[in-house]
Amino acid sequence: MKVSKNELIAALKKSFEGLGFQYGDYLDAANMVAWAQMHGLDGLGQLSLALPFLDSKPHSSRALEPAPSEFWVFDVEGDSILLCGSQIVDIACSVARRQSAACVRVDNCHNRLFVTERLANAAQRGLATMACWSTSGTFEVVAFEAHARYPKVTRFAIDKRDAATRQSLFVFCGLPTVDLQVMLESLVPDGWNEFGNGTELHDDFFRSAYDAALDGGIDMPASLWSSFDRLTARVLVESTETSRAGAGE
Amino acid sequence: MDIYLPHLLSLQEAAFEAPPEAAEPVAVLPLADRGELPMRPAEQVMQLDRLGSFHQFRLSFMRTLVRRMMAEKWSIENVAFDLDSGGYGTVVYRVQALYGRYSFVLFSNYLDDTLRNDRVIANQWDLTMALCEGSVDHEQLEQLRTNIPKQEAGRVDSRVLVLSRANKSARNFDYVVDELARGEQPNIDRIAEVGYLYRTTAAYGSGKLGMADWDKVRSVHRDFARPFAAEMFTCFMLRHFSLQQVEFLAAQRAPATAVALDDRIKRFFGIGNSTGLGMAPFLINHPKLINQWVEVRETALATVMRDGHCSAEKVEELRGFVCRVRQHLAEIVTEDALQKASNGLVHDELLQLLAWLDDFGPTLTDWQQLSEHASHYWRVETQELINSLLIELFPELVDVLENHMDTDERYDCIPEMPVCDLLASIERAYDWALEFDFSEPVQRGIFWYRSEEKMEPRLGHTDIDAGADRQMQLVVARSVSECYRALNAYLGEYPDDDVARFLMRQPQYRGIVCRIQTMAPLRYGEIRENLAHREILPMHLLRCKLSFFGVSKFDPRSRLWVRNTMFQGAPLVSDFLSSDAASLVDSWQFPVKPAF
Repeated sequence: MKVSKNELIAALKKSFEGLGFQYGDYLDAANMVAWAQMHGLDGLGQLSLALPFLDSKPHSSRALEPAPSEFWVFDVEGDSILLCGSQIVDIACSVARRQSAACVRVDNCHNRLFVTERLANAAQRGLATMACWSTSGTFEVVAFEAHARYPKVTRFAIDKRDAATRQSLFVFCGLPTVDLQVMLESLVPDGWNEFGNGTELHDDFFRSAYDAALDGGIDMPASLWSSFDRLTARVLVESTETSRAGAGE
Repeated sequence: MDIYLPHLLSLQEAAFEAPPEAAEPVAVLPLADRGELPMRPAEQVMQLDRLGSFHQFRLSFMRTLVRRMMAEKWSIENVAFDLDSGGYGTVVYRVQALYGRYSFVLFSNYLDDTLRNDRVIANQWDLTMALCEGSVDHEQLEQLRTNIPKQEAGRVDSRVLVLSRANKSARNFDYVVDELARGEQPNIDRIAEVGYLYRTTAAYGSGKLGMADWDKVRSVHRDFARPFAAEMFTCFMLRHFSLQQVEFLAAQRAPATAVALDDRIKRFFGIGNSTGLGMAPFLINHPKLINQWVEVRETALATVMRDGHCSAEKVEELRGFVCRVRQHLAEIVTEDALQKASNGLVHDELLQLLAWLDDFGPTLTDWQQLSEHASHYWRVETQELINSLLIELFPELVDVLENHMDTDERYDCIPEMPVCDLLASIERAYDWALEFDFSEPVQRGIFWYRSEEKMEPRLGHTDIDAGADRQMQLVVARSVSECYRALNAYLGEYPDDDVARFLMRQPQYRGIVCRIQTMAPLRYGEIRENLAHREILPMHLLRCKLSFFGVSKFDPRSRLWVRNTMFQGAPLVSDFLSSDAASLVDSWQFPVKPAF
């Protein structure tokens, strides 16, 4: 079946609320998934993989405290970016406004692709943003120029992870005059050349994906829609004669 | 200048730059003349009882739609009218508008009188219908036939813009067919009791059930690129069909004697509407849009106050409007005692207005004099009705605003805003919210929740009804109060922190902080009411939104739902190209019985 963007976001909001996300968090999480899906990054596929974990325990935002370090480092203890992505990018933006540039590292986090929408949001507010992370066999970089609507996404076929940073996410943020690429390359000062060119996705890809999704609707797997129904049911109240009377006749 | 302020300005698309401290509200309308307008303050306008006293006005969505259709000479023709002798079957209209072609598809099905139900939980209706882009081929028609009658239980695709349904008026429908079959026109006094043949209970758009997303409608289908334009057009087409159907049935029953409806009676038929709590959360969940609508209305009013001349002609025109409205009020049939009494009081105060115009009209220099007199002597509903009439007097000043009802509804968190500045924003823009004492049982007497049955919004009584643990986040005042307390406590410990650091440590306030940061700079902002108050009247929320739709003849059936009439008095499709078009296009506000 097909759903519209509005319908997808509405279903996601209720589903995340059903998972225990609080007001604000479920709005942001819905936007993160919808953005990824609308822009061709298979947000729903990623969410399908994440749902069993998200549904394994009650979720609510955790207060974050940075680890003692001269840099901003957080350990989110296995949480999803869907829960902490807003906090992380907000910190990066705040530091960038004060100091012209910021780098925030998040350890032990999952579903890192979804940070892209948060970066897009910050870019629309006039900041250059970037995030990178390692997966098994690839190194992913998402970068927005200030005010840009679409990112440049680069995938490098290289494994630069080590045990300590396997599930880490780096978020860079800077004023428009700052070159975030320099900050990125400083992560691997001895080996950036090993990365090569990587495969890139540019404006045209994202614009086409968005336009197609808007025009024709979004493909929704029946199993995932059923999951949404199940999660949404958690925020609904049972119907009784008394409750029906509450709506007037 | 604080670092975050340039960002704030870019967010708001300000018509003029706010001063560095952003102490004054930011205008969001790009007005051609940016001189000082006497805008009414938010603390006056955004009171729930005043919003619930708004009446239809010139820039209401139905009025704008009709002006557009007639100015652009939309063509509306039957391409299929396959009804049996009972009036059941399929009808397809082709609509050629300025920018595109559309199809309006309608299915008429038999429905037993005992099964007719206006509630959102109903699952059968007399009519179901859809507005579609382009032409509809046989394959699509069959898909629609399978799904449209199911309404929320079915699925459609992005070629569908609006989905709706309607039920017959038991009082009017058969009576009208009978009279026409006998060769007679229906009695206008009887029609006036219920001014419609069908009553719609929902019109879904904006991407629900697989339909075209609002962003698609807005960008691709320019003919409907205004809020609820497509939904209003669907109701207009429903009215058109209802008039065709009764004539068809009369001719089927008595081909030798049946007559067509007189055009003046046809125009007096509108479409009934039944609106309940389902509409109420919209006003809280779309605060930027509501702010925009209110700001358009207030800008129109303020422009009239500043630039509208008090000529003898205009005073006389106002007198004519007032007389018409008094007749309109006198013709409203409602069983609700409070509404009946209110209509009567407004009717009486409008008589006082006529006397006031006799005394002061000849020397009136500006309309502010009338506004001030009204605010001192007459009730809120009369005041707002007068405002609607004043706006009506000056189309050349206000019609330009009809394209400004839409807005970017994005919320944005400003993480670099200092906590102390956020507190100041709350104290300036949400002072009203801080006055409620939520420890008092009456202030938290009810809660809003979604029912299992079609996720219908309902009200529950705190400490009595189940569901408070799953309540909807609609009580903005309470959320603001809690956030304010937390911010004050936080500031004591971290005086130099910003919002990002606050939310890092207290993420539970993220939603309300983003809302405050988004809404505080706007001129009108939030509806200033505690929606958890035990005595809250949701009716005010419904009436406010319905006034922007342009409905008339409110008939409350309880404090939670209201019947009303849409497009009553509006021009017919056959009027679009008539020689009377110019006189009909904007003469149907506050409809009255046609005179014969």
